[in-house]
Amino acid sequence: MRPLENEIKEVIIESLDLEDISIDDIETEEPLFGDGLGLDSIDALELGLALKKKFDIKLDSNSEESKKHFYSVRTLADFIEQQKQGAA
Amino acid sequence: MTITTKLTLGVLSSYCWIDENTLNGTNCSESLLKFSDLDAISLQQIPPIKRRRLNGLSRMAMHSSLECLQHAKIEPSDVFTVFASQHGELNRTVNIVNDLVQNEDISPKDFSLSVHNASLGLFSIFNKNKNVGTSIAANHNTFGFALLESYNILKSNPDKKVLLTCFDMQVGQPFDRLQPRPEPSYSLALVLSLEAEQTVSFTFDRNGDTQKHAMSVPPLALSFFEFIQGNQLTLQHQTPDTRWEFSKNAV
Repeated sequence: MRPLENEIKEVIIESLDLEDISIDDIETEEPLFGDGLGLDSIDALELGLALKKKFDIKLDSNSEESKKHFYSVRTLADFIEQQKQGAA
Repeated sequence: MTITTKLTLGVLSSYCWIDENTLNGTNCSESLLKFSDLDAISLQQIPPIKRRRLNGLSRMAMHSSLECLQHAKIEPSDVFTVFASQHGELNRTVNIVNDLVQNEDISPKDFSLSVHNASLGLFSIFNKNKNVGTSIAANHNTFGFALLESYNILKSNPDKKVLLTCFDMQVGQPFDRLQPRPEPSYSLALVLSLEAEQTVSFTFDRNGDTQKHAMSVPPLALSFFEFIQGNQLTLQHQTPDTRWEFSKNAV
């Protein structure tokens, strides 16, 4: 488990008002949207904004790529690491 | 406009929640508080994943609506709905405008919940209610005109029941200075029908004498709730432009 993955889970819980859910309740590889955690399209936008603020990343809201990045906590962590390496 | 004919409605159930933390400087009477729910809202009936979308105004409206319906043993999916709020999502809108001014990104969640009928929409979605829903704002007369709208709906659908929920958050900065005195955050829910054991008649006069208007009367909804819970047989309530009169009818 990368520390980044826990940080992302914290952002998810805080930005989406998931008051009754803890970090351990979010599976790193489970889908965030639809069947998994059950988040919806407004959550996707809200989460995108929160991740942008927290990790200073660039997001293209319309691309198919973004959809892949937002699949799970793991794919988000991969994406953020990739962006940071690109910037470094 | 004057309605001199008495309009009569049955009140099947009533439930009022008031935010104890917003009572400072308001003129809520002891008896109003005695009849009202002042506890923190938990909304345990709604699963957490859905409940998180209810904050502030929608949370209050949902709480008093569900409690009122439960008390009357009426399914939330069965009623016609009238949701009334003088200020609506004013505080949320002020936050959004502040973010815009400071060139901050706007929260999509705040934006999606900032419309006046957001609370009504959430109520209908969460309770799978597919009936007619009306969202009303009418300044100081918001509750009165919501009552009139409920009456109209019931006259067209005599076998139905109307859930009337009237609610407002305490107005925050900067608009709080426009109010003569603060009003509490509250949500009043009523289940109405044309006939019931307890019926209330009302009339109103739009040429009300503004001189007589007390600058600090509580919101009409709260005066009405105190009236139906208490022993008084009549209530006169003067807003800046309208005089409302209510009377209880003997069974």
